[in-house]
Amino acid sequence: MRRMRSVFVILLASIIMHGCAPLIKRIDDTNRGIVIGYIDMDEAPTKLEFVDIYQALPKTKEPYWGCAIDDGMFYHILPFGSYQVSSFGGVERFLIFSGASYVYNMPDYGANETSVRVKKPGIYYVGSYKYKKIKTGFFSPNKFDLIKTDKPTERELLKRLTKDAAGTPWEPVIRKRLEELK
Amino acid sequence: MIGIYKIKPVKWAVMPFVALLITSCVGAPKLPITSFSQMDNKETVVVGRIELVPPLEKDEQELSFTVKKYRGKTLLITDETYRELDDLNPGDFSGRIEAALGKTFYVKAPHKPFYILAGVIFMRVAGTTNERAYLPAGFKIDIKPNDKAVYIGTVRYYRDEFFKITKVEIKDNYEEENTEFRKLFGNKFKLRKELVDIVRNHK
Repeated sequence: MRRMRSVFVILLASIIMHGCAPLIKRIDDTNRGIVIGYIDMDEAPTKLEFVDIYQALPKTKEPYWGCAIDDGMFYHILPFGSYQVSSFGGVERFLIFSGASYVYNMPDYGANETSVRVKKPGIYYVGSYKYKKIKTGFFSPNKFDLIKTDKPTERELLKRLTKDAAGTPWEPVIRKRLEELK
Repeated sequence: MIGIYKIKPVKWAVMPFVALLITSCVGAPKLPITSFSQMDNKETVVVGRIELVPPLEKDEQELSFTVKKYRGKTLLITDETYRELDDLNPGDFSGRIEAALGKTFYVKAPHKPFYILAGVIFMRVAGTTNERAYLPAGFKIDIKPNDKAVYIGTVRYYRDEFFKITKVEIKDNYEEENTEFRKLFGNKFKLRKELVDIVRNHK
């Protein structure tokens, strides 16, 4: 009984740890592309808590991929195809209290600047952006703009990702790209 | 990149264009016709076609039953003066041409030049969702006062997988369209060819 309980505890712990492991530790298949970017939400009502990427090709009934988020940086490890950021957002928070949730939608039709075609294994940097609110009338939809910026750079983002990628099949892929960016 | 954000719960003060189109609170479209008897002497038949390459797939548009009449169609936004469209207001839909993609349209218009500012295709309309694809235009339709019928050409839009328009061609299918025009309207009036012209040539 004690042994069964120990096994159960270890199993539960490994499930929890595996479930909480960074995305880059959970996907071994390097026949994919890391799509990575950054959004500065300083002027937004919320922090960046989710980013959804839309898969334009190949067509699928479930075209949305939820990215890993780390302090403005977002990424996913995607099979070959065509993608772009579809929406992102977060929840207003004050201490332990949650307020309204905000969903920022990019137009679904027409390529936006984050559109990317993953054709071979490697790193696909879609850019760093700054959120900017646009004033609109009361009866108009709330609008925002994403202004492309040059900070943080692809190199800076990949250096951050290197920590989580240590010991994974992605580490040499990221290091190779960092060498190219020197 | 301009986007729209939603705060949940939804701001009920926002009224989607689609609801206005359904309730006819926006102006009427340019009316389709099949005979000169449906026109008065201050009107002209405008003949044209809009094509999308590749065409829309069978289930690509997700339209609720209230707007299913716009399946397979583009709404061409028109005006008597040229302007850049930043945002679409309900009033912009007045005088629109509702063109079935890949099919010739015959609509009546006043005896004066007008502009096609953009095309709109409803892609996903359900509940509070209202997503559209846009076709760039900025074309002048140079109708002369004596025109009874004007052929403006086939505007062919090429799109990529993101619905970004990568190329626009103006095709001249006058001979074929004139044959069809005569079958419908008879030989009383000539179909004059006046292919759409891109506005920048007129600025």
